[in-house]
Amino acid sequence: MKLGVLYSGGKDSNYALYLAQQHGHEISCLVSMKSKNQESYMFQTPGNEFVRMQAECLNLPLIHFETQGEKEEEVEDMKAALLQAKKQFGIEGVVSGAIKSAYQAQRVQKVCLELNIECYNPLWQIDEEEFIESLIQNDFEIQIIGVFSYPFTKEWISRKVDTYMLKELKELHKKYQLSVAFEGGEAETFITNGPNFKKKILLQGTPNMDSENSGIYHISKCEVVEK
Amino acid sequence: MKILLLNLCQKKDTLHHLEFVRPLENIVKKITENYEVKHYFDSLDVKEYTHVILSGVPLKDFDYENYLDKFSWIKEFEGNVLGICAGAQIIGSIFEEEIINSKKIGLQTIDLVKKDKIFNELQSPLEIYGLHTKGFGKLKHFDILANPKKPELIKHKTKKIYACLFHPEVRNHKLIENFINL
Repeated sequence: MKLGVLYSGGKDSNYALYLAQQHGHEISCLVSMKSKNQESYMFQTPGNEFVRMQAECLNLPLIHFETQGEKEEEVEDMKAALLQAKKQFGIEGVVSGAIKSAYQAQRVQKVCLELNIECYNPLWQIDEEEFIESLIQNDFEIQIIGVFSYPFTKEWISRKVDTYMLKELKELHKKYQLSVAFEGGEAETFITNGPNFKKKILLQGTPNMDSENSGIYHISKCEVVEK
Repeated sequence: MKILLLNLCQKKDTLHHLEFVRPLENIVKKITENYEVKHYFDSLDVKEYTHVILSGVPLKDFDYENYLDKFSWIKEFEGNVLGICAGAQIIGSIFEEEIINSKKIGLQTIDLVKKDKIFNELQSPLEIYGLHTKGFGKLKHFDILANPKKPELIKHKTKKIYACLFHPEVRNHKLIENFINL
């Protein structure tokens, strides 16, 4: 089936895209929502301006659709973006990286039903530790580009998610019940390379903190390079 | 105890399996390793099992309606059956209950109106996740356990058969655990 992927550039949408490809689907395009609202419940904002480079690495067309990010209106904007994908690329279905958020999932489901296209959520309710392990085993390169809660600090920003970090996250989960896959909004990630990437991305930047446990990676350079 | 998790999605081994069957499997395997996952097109000997869970399917998948004959065993099955979403509709159809249009997408709360072991340690009202476009109308063979005006969970009057329109694998793992422990 020809599918569009709701794409944020983070680990969830990238792995959902990868799974769709592994299951033999043709990915016609990426659909990324450029939200002006940093507090959007629906769409990841850190790193969004660099999804064009990820699309280049994946060798996939990108619909980069602006939204004010106003609650519920942003869902109508998502519908307009998917309708554009349907008209321009003939998508028959949409893939999302929704894991636990019923807020996101139900809105994507409703929009897909209204547009009469299939809705795929291959990470739905996935075991979070297994998910991160799968990302690492499949050679995804994942960088933390934002932290938003205790106990994460400036030192976590720009770190790569690897086996060592996973051990730390499991300990933090035991101590603070935080989500190993950051489903509570604790952090945001950016994929710089993956098994389905034709090229990779080099990021340079500095952490820009609002408080001790909240800040983003201010990316000063984002370069597509050969693998 | 031996559990059968029956995949009702149109095709085996699809992305939809990850969405509708794997979450159920993750809950079951925390309780017991004695389970199997099969597709409703596979050849089955249901007598092997003490419990059968019929999975849900995507909103646009109604293929199972063309193969209701594959579920005729439900009427004579002596074990426990839990049908989820499409599984619930199949149970309703097998027993010739009224199936009506009834769309529900997303979180809602339901009232638990009849005591049952499947509700052990669950409180009313209960937050649930719905993803269906059909529901139950008039019922002849089933009692309503939750949401009397628009039934979300019903149980056969004499058999150990539950038909659950919502998806307990999202917010109500305890309900599935209670079913397995029946």
